[in-house]
Order: sequence, then C-alpha cells, then structure tokens
Amino acid sequence: MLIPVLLGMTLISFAVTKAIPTDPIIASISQEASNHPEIVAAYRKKWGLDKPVPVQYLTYVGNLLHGDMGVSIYTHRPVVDDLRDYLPATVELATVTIFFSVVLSIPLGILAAIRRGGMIDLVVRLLTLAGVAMPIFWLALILLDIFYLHLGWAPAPGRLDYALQPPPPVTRFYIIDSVIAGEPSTAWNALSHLALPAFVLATWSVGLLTRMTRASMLSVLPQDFLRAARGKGASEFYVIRRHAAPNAMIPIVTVIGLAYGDLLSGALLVETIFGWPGIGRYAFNAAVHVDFPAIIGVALTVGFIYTIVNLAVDLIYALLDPRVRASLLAVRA
Amino acid sequence: MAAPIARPARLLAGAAGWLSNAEMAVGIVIILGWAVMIAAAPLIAHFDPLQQHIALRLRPPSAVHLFGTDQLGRDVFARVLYGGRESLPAAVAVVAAGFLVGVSLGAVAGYCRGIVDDLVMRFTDMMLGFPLIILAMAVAAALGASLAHGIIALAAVWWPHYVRVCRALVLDLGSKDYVVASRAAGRRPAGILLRVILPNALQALLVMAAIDVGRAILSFAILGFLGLGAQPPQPEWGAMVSTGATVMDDWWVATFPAMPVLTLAFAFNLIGDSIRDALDPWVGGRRQ
Amino acid sequence: MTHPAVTPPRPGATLLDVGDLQVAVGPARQPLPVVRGVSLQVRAGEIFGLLGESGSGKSMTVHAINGLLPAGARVTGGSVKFNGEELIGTSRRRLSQLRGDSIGMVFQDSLTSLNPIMRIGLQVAEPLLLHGKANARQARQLVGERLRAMGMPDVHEAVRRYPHEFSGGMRQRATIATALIATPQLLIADEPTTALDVTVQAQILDICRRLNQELGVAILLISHDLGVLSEICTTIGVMYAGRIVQAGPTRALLEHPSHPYTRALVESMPRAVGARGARLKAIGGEPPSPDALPAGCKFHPRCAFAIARCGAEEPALVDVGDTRAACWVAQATGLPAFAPDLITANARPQSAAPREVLLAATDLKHYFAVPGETLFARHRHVHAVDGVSLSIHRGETLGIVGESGCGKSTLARCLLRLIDVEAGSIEFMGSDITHLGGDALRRIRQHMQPIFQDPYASLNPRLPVADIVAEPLAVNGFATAEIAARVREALELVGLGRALASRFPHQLSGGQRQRVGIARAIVLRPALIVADEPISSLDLSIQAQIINLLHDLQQRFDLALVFISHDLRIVRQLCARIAVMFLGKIVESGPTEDVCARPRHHYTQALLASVPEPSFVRGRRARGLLEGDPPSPLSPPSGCRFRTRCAGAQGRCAEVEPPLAGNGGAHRWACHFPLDADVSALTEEFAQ
Repeated sequence: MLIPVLLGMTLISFAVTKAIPTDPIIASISQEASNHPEIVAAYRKKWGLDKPVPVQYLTYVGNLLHGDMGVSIYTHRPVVDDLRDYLPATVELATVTIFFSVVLSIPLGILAAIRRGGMIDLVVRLLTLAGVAMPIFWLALILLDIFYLHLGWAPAPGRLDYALQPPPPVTRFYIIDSVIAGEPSTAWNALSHLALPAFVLATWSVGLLTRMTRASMLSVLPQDFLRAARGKGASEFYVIRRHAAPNAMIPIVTVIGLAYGDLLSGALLVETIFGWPGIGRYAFNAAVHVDFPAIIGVALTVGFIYTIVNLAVDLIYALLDPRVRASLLAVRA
Repeated sequence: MAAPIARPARLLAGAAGWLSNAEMAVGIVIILGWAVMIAAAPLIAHFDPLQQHIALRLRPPSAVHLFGTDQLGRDVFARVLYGGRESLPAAVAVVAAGFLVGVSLGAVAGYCRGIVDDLVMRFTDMMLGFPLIILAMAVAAALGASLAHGIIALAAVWWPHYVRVCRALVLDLGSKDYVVASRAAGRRPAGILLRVILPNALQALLVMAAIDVGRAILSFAILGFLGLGAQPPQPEWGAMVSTGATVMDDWWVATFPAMPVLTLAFAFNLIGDSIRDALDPWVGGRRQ
Repeated sequence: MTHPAVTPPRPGATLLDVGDLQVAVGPARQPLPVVRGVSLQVRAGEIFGLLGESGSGKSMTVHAINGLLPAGARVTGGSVKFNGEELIGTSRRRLSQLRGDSIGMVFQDSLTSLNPIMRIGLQVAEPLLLHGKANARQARQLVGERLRAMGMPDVHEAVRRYPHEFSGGMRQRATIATALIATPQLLIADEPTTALDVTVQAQILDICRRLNQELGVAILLISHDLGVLSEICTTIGVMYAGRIVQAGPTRALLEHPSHPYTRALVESMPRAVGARGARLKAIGGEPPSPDALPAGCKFHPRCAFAIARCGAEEPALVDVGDTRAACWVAQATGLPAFAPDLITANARPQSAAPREVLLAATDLKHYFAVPGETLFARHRHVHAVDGVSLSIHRGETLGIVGESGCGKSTLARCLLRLIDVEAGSIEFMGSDITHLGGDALRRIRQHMQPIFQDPYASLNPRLPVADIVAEPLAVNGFATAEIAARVREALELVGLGRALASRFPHQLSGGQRQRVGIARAIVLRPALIVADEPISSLDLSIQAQIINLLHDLQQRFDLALVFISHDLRIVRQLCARIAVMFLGKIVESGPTEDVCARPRHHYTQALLASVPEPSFVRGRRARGLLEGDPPSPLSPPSGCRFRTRCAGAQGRCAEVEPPLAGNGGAHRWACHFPLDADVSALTEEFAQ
C-alpha cells in the first residue's frame, strides 16, 4: 500500500519537473556560464540530465532506495543532509501546534455544539471562521511587530537566542534535546521562541478542528441513543461525556491527522516570517531557484510523513470504532 | 389535500432557520460589497494605483487617502480595489478549472467503477498525499512568477478534492431508487449520468465550489506574498502585504490589503456554513 | 433523597394520569399544536396501546410524559401525574431519578438507540449503575438474568459484544432488557416492533406480555399497527390529529368502533384468516398536517358519516357504549350497524384457465460481494437469490412473501434485469432476456416496470411530477403531444389532480408520491409490474388506498403483477398466487387459498401464526412461534435452510436439501416432513 503510493509520488513529481519548460541548469548557473555550451553540457552531465528521461527516473528511484535524494542544485549539498537539518524544526513546530490545537479545540467544539444557536456558539463559530479565513502571513507580521518590536515580550526570530548553543543533536527537536542534555533554560528558551509561530499557525488549526468537532457533535447529538441514555436516567453531563463525545471524536481523529499533514507544508509562511529554519523555508528557496532535486525531496518527505500519519490515523480509528475493528480482526483471523 | 405536508421536524427548521439566513445575508453583503467596489474602482478610487508620489510616501489613512499611502506614495485604497480586479477573477478561474477537471474525473470514476475508478482514485490519492502548496509553489516558480502562471499552478493542484467528493456523490446517488427507475425506463447509461445523477450532485458540488473561492483567494494571496504571483508594480493583495512587511510601524500598508482576503474568505465560508445548515438532515426535515 | 421513595401502587390503581396534555412545536410567537389535549390513564399492571398514524402526535405525547421531547417541542398545557406526582414542570433532577428506575423506555429503532461503541452489557446495566441500585457484580448478574429472560442466547458472550454484531431482534431484546433492568412500574415502548420481521415481532410481543405478567410492569405501547396493539393490549386509545378520538377496552373498541376513524381502521385491516376480497374498505383523503387543521372535528373531511355539526365544533371524548369516543354522530344517533363481515365481498376474478406464460425464471442465482470495511478485508459472498424458479402468467397476480434478508428484493431486480444474474435464465414474452444488453434490453424494459418501496427515494427530487411520469415516454422516443396526453391520463388513473402535475416531490405526501411512482410504472402500458414493498412505508389509512389502486389498475390493464411484501396479510388480500421465500429460496408456492389455509411448509405456518391479531379472535389456536432470529445469509445452514428454526426438523433435514415439489398440483413445498394438510391449524378458521 505504502510502496505503490510513494512510487506513484516520485512518478508524478518527476513528470511535473519534466513537463515544466524551464531548464534548471540555465536557471541555476550564472548568466555568463550559460553562454558557454560546453559548461552547460558539463553541468548537464554532472546532474545526469543528458540521459533519456526514463533512465533518469530509474536512476533516481534506485538512488532513493539507498536513501539518496540527489544533490541540491542550490545548496550543493545532498538533499538528505539538508532535510535532516531542516525537517526537525518544522516537525517540532507542527507537533506543538497540533497538540495545543487539539487540547483547545475539542472542548470548544463540544461546548459550541451543545449550546447550538446560543451566544457561546455564535462567538466560537465567528472566531473559528475568522481563524480559517485568516491570511496568516499578515497575522504573523502584525503579531511580530507588536510582541517583539514594541512590547518585547516575544524573542527575536529563530529557534534559539543567538547567544545560546543548540543542544547536542539526539532527536534534533531542541526542546527534547535540551531536556536530555539537562539544560532546562535552553528548553525554556526554545519553547519561548516557538510560542508565537505556533500561536499563529494554531489560528488556522484551532479554527478547523473546532469547527469539525462542532459539526461532528451536532451529527451525534440528535441520535436516538442519547435520548435512550436520558431515558435511563442519565444526567445531561453524563450523556455528553460517556455517549455523545466518544462517538463524535471518532471522525475527528481523521481530521487531526489531515490537519497535521497540512501544518507540515502550511508552516511555510510562518517559517519565512519568523526566520524558522524549517522545511517550508527550504522548499521556498528551492522553488525560487528551480532546484528540482530539493523540491522533489521535500515533496516526497512531506508526502511520506503525511501517508504514514494517515495510516496511523486509520489504525487509531479502527481501535476506537468497534465496527471497523471487527472487520479488521475478522479478516486477520 | 393538495397542501404541502408540513411535518413537525420541518416546522422546527423555521425556528433555527432565521439565524442561518441572517448569516447568509451578511456573507452575501460582504461579497457583493467588495465586488461592486472592485468593479467600480475607476469611479471610487481617485488615484492611479501605479502613480508614485515620493513626497506623499507612508501617509496614514485620511479623508484623501482612505487607506493611506505606501512607501512609493501610491494610494493603498486604489491599489486594494485594483488588486481585486485580478485576484477575484483569478480565484474564480482556479476554482472553475479545478471544478471542471475534478468533477469530470470523479463522475467517470464513480459511474464506471472497476478499473477506471481504481486508476483515477489511486492517482487522486497520490495527489492528495502531496504538500499541494509546495507543489503549486514549485510549478509557479519554475514557470516564472506571473499572474497567469499562478493560476495554472493553483489549478494544477486544485482538482483532487472534487474528484473525491464527486465520486462519492455519484456512487451514493447511483444506488438511489429514482436512478434505478430511470434505468428501468430505458434511459441510456450516459443519459443517466448526465441527466439524472449529475444534476442531483451539482448542488452539493456548487456549495463546495463557493466555499473554495474563499480558499482560492487566500492561496492566491500566499503565492503573491511569496513573490510568485502577479509582479510589481501590479497591485496584488498578497504582494502588497509583503511590501508592507518592511514598514510594519506604518501598519496600514500591510493591513488594508489583507482585509479583503480575510473578509472575503470569511464571507464565502459563512455562506457555505449557512447552506450546509439548511441542508442539515436534523433541521431540514425528512431524509435526503 | 429529597423525594419520597416511590411506593408500588396497588394493581388496578391509576399509575399514570395524563390530563389535557398539550404539546406545540415551532416558534413561540406562532406555536403549532401537535398534541391538543390528550387525556389517558394507565393503571398499574395493564398494557395500554396508543394507536395513530405518523403525525398524529402519539410519540410527542409519550415523550412529553417522561420529558424527552425533541428540541423545539414543548409542553404548553395539561398535567402528567405519575403515582400522583406531577411531572410537568418538575426538576430535571427528579425526572432523571424516575427515568430508567420507575419509568423504562424503549425506542423504535434498536440500532440507533444503542451506542455503537459501547458494549451491550454495560449499556443494559447503565440504569442500575446510574441510580446506584447495584454494584458492578450485582449489575452483571442482573443483566445476565434479564437478557436470558428476553430470550437472548449465549448471554455470557453477548454482554461483551457491540450493537452492530447483533441482529435487529437481538438488539431490541437488549433495549427492552435495559428498560426493564431496574424493574420499573411503567414501560413506555415507542413502536418497539416496527423495524422487526413478523416472526421476531411475534416473539417480542410474547415477551412483553410475559414480563407484564411476571414483573407486574405496566406498559404504554405506541404503534401504528392495530393488529399489534390488539394482540396484547388491555386498553387502546386511538389518536388522530393530536387528540384521542376513541379509547376503551380492546375488545369493545374492536367490536364496537363507535368513532368513524376507528371503524375505518378496523375495516381496512387486512386479515390473515377469514374471507378475503380483492378490495379493501379504504378511508379517502389524507390526515391533516398540524399547520392546516380543519375546523370542527379534525376527521370530518374524510368521514362518511359527517353531519353539519362536525364541521363547526370539535367533539369531546365522552362515554359511548363501552368505550369513550369523540364524535358528534356517535353521540347523537350512533353509526349505522357495524357489519361483522370486515371486507367488501365484491366478486374477485378467479384465475380460471392459466393463460400464456409471460415471464419464466429458471434456477436464478445472484450473489452479492460483501466488501470488507478496511483495505485488508476480502470480499465475501451472500447468496441473496439461490436457485429460484417461478413463472408469471399474463394478467396474473403473484405475491412473494418473506422476511428481511430473504432475497425478495434482489429477486425483483433480477426479474427486471436491473441487476445481472449469475446463473439461470429468464424468459420474457417468449424470448430469452437473461443476457440481453444495450438497445435490445432497453426495448424490452418498456414492457416491465418497477414500483419501489420508498416513495421518498424513488422520485427524482429535481423534476416536477409531470416530468417524472413522462420520463419513460421521453426516453423511448414518444412524440411530445402523445407524452402530454398519456401523462395526463396516467395521473388521472392514479387519482392525482392536474394541479399536482407541476409540483415537486418534496411538496407531496407519502401517499401522493407513491401514486406518482405507480403512474410512472403504468404510463408505458407494460405487461408486467414488479412492486417491491410498495406500501410498507405508508401510513395506515393510505395503505388500503394504494392496495386498491394497484388492484384496480391490474384489472383494468390486464397487468401481470408481482407484489413483494413481508406482510402475508396484504399479499393474501391482493394476489391469486403466493410464493414464500426463505434465505434465497422459495420454500412454498401455490394458489393463495391453498398456501394460507393449508400451509405445508413449517415456515409458512410460522409466518401465518406470527400475524398479530386480537387474542379473542385467535382464541385457543396454538401459535407455534419461531425461536430466535433468521440465520445469516452469509453462512446459511446445510441442507434445509430453515431447519435451525424448525420444530419439525429431523436428521435428514441437515443433510439433504428438500426440493420444491408437491403432489403434482399447483401447490408445492420444499420440505421433507410437510405439515399434514388435514390438521393444518388454520383450516377450520378458513372454512367459517
């Protein structure tokens, strides 16, 4: 399942790069060098672009199996090395964001649903609607201006203060690594750098998750088994906690998975504005320089994570829902 | 006897309905308001959006310059309105292209099933697995930054959602009794898909497209902000926010171009919500 | 405890006293009354039946009693006294104390009234745990006991399972066990058997009656089916348009239906036994909607006996004979004498000489692939139709009877070539159509048309009525003028006025929609119509109208009609020949008189015995109810598929599948040990 999807992804991304009438060599070398056909040819040979397209593709896939994604035309480093440097920053940001979004959104969505049509519902709905409609690049700029430049509450852009040394890389997540290294002040510093970008990203994910939770709750609330529970003498709080909410959460698991995947690529703007050395900013630089190996590398990596997250979500879904679980077990047995 | 049957459930809809209608009205007013202002830009805006007045640079909002002026002394109000003349049609074009491609593929996949369905859906799933904004960014950058290339780049990644939704609708409707009745009446397969199933699927798809226009405006602004959309000196909302980023103390330069993006995306979502509320099986009465 | 513990009332004392209860929906400024002054008393230990069609306010009435009205509906007046305690306006806390403890509740659909992700055992135990009446161990034991009493097999295993793993019958047993777990004084059951098969329904009704006697729990039973209520209720109240129009002891009510509505319901009830005519006495018109109630008596526009006063004043419920009725005519002069012969005995054409065979199906098979819900699942096959042979003659009515999952709907679609057949052959109008495709198939379709069960799903919501009826003509290339004429004629034939031609389906009532579906089916003048449960989703008083309409059209156009139903009573009414299906096979077929009066297959006999009827009608006749639920079509039993539920099964039944055979006549059965024709339980009754 996973392998064909990934193979298909490489095929699509390769097809896209070949379909675009831009020569990466011309785009990446200087104006002067591109006037010399022999230099262009030499570069072409160096990047393997002189071979027929199918051969290029097979070579790429073959290298990929060995963990080789080629060399970035822009940074002149192996794409894998670049990704190892940039990916953890994005994953750290997205993970913290999704964590706080989930903690905030689910109670909010449930509250809005059970107070449907009331004041709380209206406020929650308008705010979350604004959240998903927010041009976050503008929000990021404004908040950076207020909290960093004017109030000085937020630290300068970047993952850590300039004065601080990054902790020794173990997981490459600064917060975890500094805890491992026994430097709580560094961990705190990393967290404070993370706060504002995570907040900006969360306006979108909180909006999405709250709206989805509300919708899911609304589809559960009119169901007969809640009335049946009331008929058993259950209090309204018990009905929501034991019957309505667990059922409403099942589809939300899927939405959380999708939102996490979107955060990985959606962090791009926030990374650019907050000087966050993540994969989004890397992808942007690669795109501007028509650096196909790097772009394909990023696309494949994010697509891979996305697919894995979705598989995990499917499994969690099956664990939560006995109807799905039964069909899984029935076939395994 | 001929009176329409009003069941209690439908009567309840009336009570819940007015709030949702009020929201729909707000959404429509916002969209129409911007549309009219943008269409009438030459009449409303008293300045040329491209005309520079270095002497008048970074003036705060005033009666003359409603939204102030930017670093080059250009009137932000005029630039916001003229910017809409490109952003709005571009967003509609992206959604329309994605809609056409996605709905066609989805309809064929859902109706033919079998191997065609498998192929289309596998491909769609792979596309959905990609970080689409990064893909769009790469396409836009590779083609060279311009408004037209931005449209192509977004349209290239916009269709997969429609395939999924359209296929699901076609599959669902295909098993409805009234479709079976059409078949029993002797309608040809193509006729069933085009004349019976698709018209019934269209309502839900159009709702989705309406909400998507808001998303497309947002995505367009992102490309513009990254410098991958319309190029200077052409006014474009995302690019204008980007210009204002360097002078955040003069907040109006970055803020006013962001407002149409925010309010339009908000309004399209509001309308989508209201329609969905109206179609809600709980409030809306009986099945279907 | 701030409230006194509820003391058990004396048997016969009033347990529940509802007085002038009023419920309204809609905005506060213009409330729409849906319950308009209902008064009823339920005595301790009795079974009270509340009868009404959809929209009559019966569900709103009972939900107002225990405070479970849906959002938007509210009590606007009246009182509900439970053991003398007023429940209207009492605190939510007090209501919670009573619910599940003193008042148990059962809903119609057992699938939706159980939490899909909670184990059955816990759900059944919840009332005990919520009221602190038992610890976990005691609760577990009581749950086991109650489930066993409900006839749930393998209780130890069952409590660990989830709702979706049970059949509808087993789920409904669990919900009734839940309602009774705390041994309440009152059980409110809202259409508890409507979603169930007839043989399972009979078991559930039996259990209700037994628990009523053993536990002394009073039951308030809501149903749209007079048969169900008359089977077990001691008292029945009939609701119409938000009020009770007649109430009284079951027997008195059925034998002296002094209200014209009750009378019409009794008359239009098809019976499993007794004389049968092809037409039923039907009530004209439709029940009024709450926002368009007529003045005076709400039934008078449909009433055959209405007098001037009926249109002016609404009558109150007063004593009339042994029951109470709300009717001016009954109060003044009384209705004309009630004919004991329930059915108009107009001449029914005998299927004299068999005419040419129109459709002959031989050994038809259709398998469904059941896909797994996840990517890992493999397909399994359900033998929905597994070797069915039947023939339909021109102008003949054939009824196919069976419970849900027996494959009758699949068979219908196979016969119409709407789905492919895996094996066997179909011959129609003299040519083999088994593998016909493309234009040839489309040409033959003009002569065979379906009528569907669900009038809400079978009409294209985007088209006006005239276009829906015109579709078969339009796609078959008829001229515009002819289409218009034929559509007009078809709508007239099904009794739809010209005004409705431009309406859209959502503007029509269920009965009107079904008429549109019938008009669409006859507009091509087909030779064969296959109607799949065409009345089962319609209201009580509409069902008889539609049956009569089908009968009239069948006669007029000399149609061959295949009528598929789960209800033996209706099939018996309408069809000259019957085929009984069980798990994809025909187990008995033959002329209606033979099959219904002298059933030879044990399953047919069980179906007949399961038909609900008043106990005073049934008398001492043995019921011979089936045990348990039908087996899963995914893994049918070996040999005779019915043997696992059959009282007469022997060793051979598990080994050899009995063929459909008989004594050389038209009556055939698939059973190694058929019932004796002479002692067949119903013979006597039929001879009366």
